[in-house]
Amino acid sequence: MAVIKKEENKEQVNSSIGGPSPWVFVLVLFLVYWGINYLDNNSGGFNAKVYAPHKNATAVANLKVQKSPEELAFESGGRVYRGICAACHQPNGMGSENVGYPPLAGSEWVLDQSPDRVIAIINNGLQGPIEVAGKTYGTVAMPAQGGALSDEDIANVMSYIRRNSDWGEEHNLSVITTEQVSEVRAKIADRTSAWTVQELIDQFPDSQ
Amino acid sequence: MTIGLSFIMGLVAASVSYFMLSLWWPVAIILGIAVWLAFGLFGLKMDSAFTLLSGAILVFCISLSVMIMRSSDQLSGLQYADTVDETGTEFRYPVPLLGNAPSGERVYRSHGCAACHTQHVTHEGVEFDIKALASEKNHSAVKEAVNRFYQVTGNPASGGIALGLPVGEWETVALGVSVSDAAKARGFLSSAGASVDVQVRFNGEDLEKDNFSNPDGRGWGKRRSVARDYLFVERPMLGSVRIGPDLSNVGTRLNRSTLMRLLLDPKSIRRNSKMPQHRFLFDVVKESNEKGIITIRNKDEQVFYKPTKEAEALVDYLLSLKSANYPLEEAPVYQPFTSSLPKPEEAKKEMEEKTGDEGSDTK
Amino acid sequence: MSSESKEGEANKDPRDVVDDSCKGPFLFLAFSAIIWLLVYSIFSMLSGVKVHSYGMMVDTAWLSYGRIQPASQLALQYGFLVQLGLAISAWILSHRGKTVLVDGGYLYFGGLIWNVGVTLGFVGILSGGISGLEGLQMPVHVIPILLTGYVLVGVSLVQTNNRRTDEQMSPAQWFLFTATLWLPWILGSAYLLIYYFKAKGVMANIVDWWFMQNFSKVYLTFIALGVCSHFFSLSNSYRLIGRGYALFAFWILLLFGSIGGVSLAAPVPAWLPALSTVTSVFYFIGIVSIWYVLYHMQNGASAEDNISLMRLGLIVFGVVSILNFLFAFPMMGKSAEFTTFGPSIELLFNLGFVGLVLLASFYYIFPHMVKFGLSPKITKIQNIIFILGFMIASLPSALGGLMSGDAVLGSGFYFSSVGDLFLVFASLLLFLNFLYAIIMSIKTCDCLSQLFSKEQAKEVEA
Repeated sequence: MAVIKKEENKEQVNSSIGGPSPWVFVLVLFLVYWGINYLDNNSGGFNAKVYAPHKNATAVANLKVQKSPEELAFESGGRVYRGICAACHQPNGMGSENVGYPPLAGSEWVLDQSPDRVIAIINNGLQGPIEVAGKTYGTVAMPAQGGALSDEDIANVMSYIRRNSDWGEEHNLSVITTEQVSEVRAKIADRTSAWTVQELIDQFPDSQ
Repeated sequence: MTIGLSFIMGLVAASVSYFMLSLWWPVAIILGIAVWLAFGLFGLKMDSAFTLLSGAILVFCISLSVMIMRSSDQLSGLQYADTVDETGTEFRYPVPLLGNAPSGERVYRSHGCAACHTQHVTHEGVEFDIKALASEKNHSAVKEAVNRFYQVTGNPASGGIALGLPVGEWETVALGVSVSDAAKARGFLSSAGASVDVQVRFNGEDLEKDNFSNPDGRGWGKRRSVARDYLFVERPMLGSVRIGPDLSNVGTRLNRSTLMRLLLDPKSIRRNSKMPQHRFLFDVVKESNEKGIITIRNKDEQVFYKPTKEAEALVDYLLSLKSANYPLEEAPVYQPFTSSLPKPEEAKKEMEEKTGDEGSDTK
Repeated sequence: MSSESKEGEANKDPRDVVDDSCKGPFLFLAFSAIIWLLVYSIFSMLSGVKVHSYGMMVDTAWLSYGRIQPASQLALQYGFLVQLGLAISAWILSHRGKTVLVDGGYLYFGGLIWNVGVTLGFVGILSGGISGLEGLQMPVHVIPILLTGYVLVGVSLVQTNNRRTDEQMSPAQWFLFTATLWLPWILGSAYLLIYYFKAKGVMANIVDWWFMQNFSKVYLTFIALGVCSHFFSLSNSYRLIGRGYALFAFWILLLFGSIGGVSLAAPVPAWLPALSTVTSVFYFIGIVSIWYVLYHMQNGASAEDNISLMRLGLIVFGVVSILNFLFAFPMMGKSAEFTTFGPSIELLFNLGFVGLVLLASFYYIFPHMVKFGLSPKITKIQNIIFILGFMIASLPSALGGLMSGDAVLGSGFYFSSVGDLFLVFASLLLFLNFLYAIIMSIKTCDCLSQLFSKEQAKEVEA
């Protein structure tokens, strides 16, 4: 054991390898450049929604198959339908015969080439008897939904009920555009009360 | 003050002002150089306790804010997301643990299952396949677009596409291309007026097995795990070593009786399992007439084990583990070609055949 | 190093006075550290046995692998490494500062509380109070106890450092002083963030990884580097080489060691693993610089046993650092992901570098403390067993992890059990040797009365 004397306990700086030589800083600078590049390529732009091995947010967005406008309209119409219509007409579109809610699936009103009458019904509601698929309904009135739904919502939900192939093969009609809906709504803008069947036929005689 | 130290101080100043104060990068570099010169010229004495202490505090704050504060900013705002389950029904994900599962989670935690089992899966890459459909009208334009795509990406044409695009039939344009190439192909083809269909395939050892694109798949998830999967878990037990399999979607892979048996006697299910027995989760009973009793045959005698409440809760928890299974915005799942999807009746038939096969395998 | 010249009380060497002031706390902390090493090796061996012996010890919950494994880790890190590190830091800080240990009583008291904390944590883990976070497996209530204990010890160390004679601090002092401050900061922040602010979901894991990174890359590394640099310059008659380099390395290690630690596969946004890769590359520059400095320092150092052990420790440190550096890149890291490679390398670092360096300095300091030194023969044997032990315990299972085949993984476990058996023998020998030396020196001289020799310390100061 070496007992060190007090005066020896003093660091003597040997300058043989003093401080880091300049090339160390060149190396550090090079590594800084490399590090920034690496982060650029692998950090996903510091975005919370990018996970390895994707490079950036666009790459992640591209991973989804882009949907056509028809599909998008159908999907958002489905959401509107499940939120509002399905309470009475049921998610499967069969309505409820006992209570007096008519079906939409296979209904000749829905499967009309011209959407005008159904748009009008959605906008202002319906009262009185109505014959759907050979049966008469009408003990309960349908309330107006026009206040809560935009033109686009109505167009989407129309597309949904017209094109929902789960409800039958004949549900493959054309997509309804927002313009079609706003046209119909402009025509009936004055009306405040619910429709009856006769009034509908009078208003939109050109349907079938 | 040595040149080295002042340089580091300058580096720190530059990175703090660039990454944390988000200054324009030339400004950050100038600031860094200024700090370098200032420290270098004034020659602060760097190894007194005061400078050591203040430097250490500075570094600690940098470390805390770069790693903890920044990620907390990003992750603390996470919310539910809408997703769809296997049947196509929308629901809100993730679902909090219900019923017996929370106490099962405590059992899982207290027995240290995370020492051997992870609860997160990864994926390694993504590939795209692209199909196009041309009509009479745009046939030549689509052909041109396809050729342009091959020129731009340097992919050689192969298969049917090399012979020419048949009108009115889906034809594969590209197989296994990257995200950016897929975006190009999509752009070229749709601007030429063709209908485009895209298939997204993920690969990685942890993901679903697929003979074509992911032959090594172990089926531990359909996508990689992301932070949202653990939204309702307090101190998630991610684990770092896989002596056993990953458990993040064990609830979709195994059923109750298999799990019970695995807890009691793992080697009876998997011969080269390294899992120890967990006999302390079971009571020995005399008769096997109750439901859920497991029988172990030794040479001559039979021993009947009844799962304790702890074991039941643990299995409930394991069965509730179904993460990495549903698509999320930040982590989509495999998307097949929509144009070649089988009709519902055919899909049903296929499913039945598949399950039949699996049944025969397990025998 | 064992020869001890007996001098009169009156003309005592000032070094001996400093030694006397450290004696009690040092022996107390070192003794409990060695007990924890023994506990670690026994439980680590048990956990290996659990993996490859099917059907053993299956009827008790507290012997399940999931509990033994984290408990043994706690014993190793908090029981052995931190405590021995504290004991040796106390000695070096007072020697380097040429002052007596200030408030040595705090060391006893703090050390006692720390031991109570580790014991509660150990028992808590075995009885099922595991937190589920890898770096902080002990139950919640244990962390404040540990913090209290550490802060009490730290008060004494910081005060000792403040009383130093030279204003300028040497590299050994920077490293040990910063390490002393660092542990309560990270432990306290992790505790507050996880349990008080209730970090949500994966945030708790990010805090945990951050803590683990700081604990090993800053705290343990700094302790071991400080000890190495002190003993190299000590046996070099205090010649310090490359102070500028050491300063550069110090700040690089601190800055980049404190950020990162997120594994490539972690379910967190991509920038966290990418940032960890970048910081680990910069950290490696610091490692190379400090290695360069220490290499030049050990060149002139003597060939004493403890210096050779430290050299071996530094070689292990170099290997571990190169592996960590290489496996920080996705290309290499993917192949070792989720395998036993990571834990084995961590074990190699903990025992082969930090543990070995601390033990080596312990062998040097111990004869200064008690008149009856450790038996050199037994020490030699025990060192060989210890080195073989951590090599066998870590290297095959690291290799098995890389190959990741089922059979290799299994044989890795067999090897690590053999290694653990070696470690049990080594720590048992160390423990007995220690105990024998203490008992013999109590018998031969009146040491107990000198444990609290504060009057002597005051004399020297005046």
